[in-house]
Amino acid sequence: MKVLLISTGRLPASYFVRARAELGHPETIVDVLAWAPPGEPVGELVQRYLLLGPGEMPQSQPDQQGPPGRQAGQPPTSTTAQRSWNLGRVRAGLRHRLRPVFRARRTRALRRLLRRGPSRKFWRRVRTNQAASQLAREADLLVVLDAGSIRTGWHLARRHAGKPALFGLSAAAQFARSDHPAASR
Amino acid sequence: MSAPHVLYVAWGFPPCRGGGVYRALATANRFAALGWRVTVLTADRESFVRYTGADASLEDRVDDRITVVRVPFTWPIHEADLHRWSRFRMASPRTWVKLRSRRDQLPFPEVGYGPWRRPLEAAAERVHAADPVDLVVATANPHVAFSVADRLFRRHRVPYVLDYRDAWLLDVFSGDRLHSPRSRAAAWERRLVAAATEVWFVNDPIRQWHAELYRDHAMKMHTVPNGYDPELAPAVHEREPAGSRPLVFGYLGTVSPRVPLAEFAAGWRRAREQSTIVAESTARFYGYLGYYAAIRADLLAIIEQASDDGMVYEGPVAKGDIGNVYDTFDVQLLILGAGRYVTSGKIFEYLATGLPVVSVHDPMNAASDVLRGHPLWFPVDDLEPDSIAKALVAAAEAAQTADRETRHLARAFGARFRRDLQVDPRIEALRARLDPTAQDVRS
Repeated sequence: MKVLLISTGRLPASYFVRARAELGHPETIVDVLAWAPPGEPVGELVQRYLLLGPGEMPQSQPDQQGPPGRQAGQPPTSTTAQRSWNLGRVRAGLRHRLRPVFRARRTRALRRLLRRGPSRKFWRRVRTNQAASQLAREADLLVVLDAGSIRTGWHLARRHAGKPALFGLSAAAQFARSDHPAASR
Repeated sequence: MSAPHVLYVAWGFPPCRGGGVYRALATANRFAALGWRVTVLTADRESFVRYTGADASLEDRVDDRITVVRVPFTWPIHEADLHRWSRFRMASPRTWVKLRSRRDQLPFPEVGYGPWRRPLEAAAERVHAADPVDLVVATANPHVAFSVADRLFRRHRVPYVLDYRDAWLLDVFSGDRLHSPRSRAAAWERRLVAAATEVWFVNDPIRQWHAELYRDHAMKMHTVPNGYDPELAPAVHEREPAGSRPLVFGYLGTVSPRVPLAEFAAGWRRAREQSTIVAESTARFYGYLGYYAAIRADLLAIIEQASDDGMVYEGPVAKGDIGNVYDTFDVQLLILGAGRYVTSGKIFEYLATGLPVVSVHDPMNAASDVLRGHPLWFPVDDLEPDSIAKALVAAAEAAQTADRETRHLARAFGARFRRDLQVDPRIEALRARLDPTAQDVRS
């Protein structure tokens, strides 16, 4: 059986070990249609990993230290000597200053609206990407792994009406154990 | 009076493989065995296959005299098939879930099950019209089953029994209240308890909690503990002391996220350091990992991480095969979530075997009340690795040395918990209440 996992998250290699275990059959072929690169190299666990979002596929052990002088989750510090006006820095600064507003309960709806995940962008890229279409066409089962990839999975399910398309690895594992003809391919 | 007609309402009934199914199956079978005409209202097979997992062997255990009426059930929140998702659900999944949960609770205050109320009540009305019902026994959860009791009582004055396998307003794990006194669930329960003929609970702590809450109705509340089913009882043949061979420590049942599996793994490792017997032994887990058909990866990971220490996951077992599995055990592991209101169905099967039992749970747990006095019971003082290790080592030594007489005493202790001995007195009391002239109609 060929399974196409659809994800917007940054998944560790151990996730694919687990996925393969849950899908049961050792000969299951796993392809991934992803917005984000995996946390570590996935090696033999995945046959094809099609990355459509920002970032690059990891080639070796990821750097544990991170960029020098900056801790994860911290906005860039502003100093006169280093001041620059690139867009990323301006956005990060604005976000930092508006943090109290964004953290307030009353602005939760606004925050959600402004912080739309990559759901739409992901589908827009998949829609026009030949390799993505081919992966979906060749798969026996489409599996959406997170909320951000529901839109893509749902549209692909409509394009391939006879193809099983499921939300969640648990449902996929159950499908793999069922007597559905696609599960025994 | 001819054989009375009981309508038994249970969402989970064979082939559902959930934990509460065995009580539902046994209760319906006991009613049939004691001469009642039994109709069971339950969900359709497809629901169990898709959502909870199904055990086809359980359907063979349903008494042939029982009529099973299946009412279609859908569980949209658990629908994983994207072909069945609307555009709105796709675009706003969180909002959809929120709205759907609210909508579910309009007919009945229970998320997921509320919409089942109408078709369930309609089916009950059809059953009653075709063959008037003398008694309704509704088992929960889900509590939507109680709506049938309410309906037939209000419309046709049919008496009813509420059978709580769990509790509605009480969180049996934390002991906290789940719904405020002003909630719809609380209002429903007040009304249901007030008009019920009897209310059954699985253990005394839960019954006492409800007796405190509904003091005026405490007299109609009874503890009907779970028990083991004699026809499914594990092998109880004579066992000799295990001697010096490696032992099998076994767990059979659903491993829920409440089960302190990680604590057990730590204690198991410590016991292997302390005892050469345990170091050569294995801990085998049979059953589902999690409440649903799919294996919970986090629970599986805990077992797999301890695979080098002899912890093994063996997968689910059909109910008909459990006797063979128990036959391979030397020591039984009773690993339960915390809470003084918690018992477990599997405890009674464990008791039937006469094998040593290691209790890995809060000592205040209601299961301790059942096991107190068992000659081969090894409880822990707390869930620290040393306490668990101490109990495991003691149980291993007992398995090696326990003679026939000790094992006979252990089996005799367990024999008190046969299922029919728990439920029959209540069924006979109900029969006497419906028809005071009726004789005992044991078959």
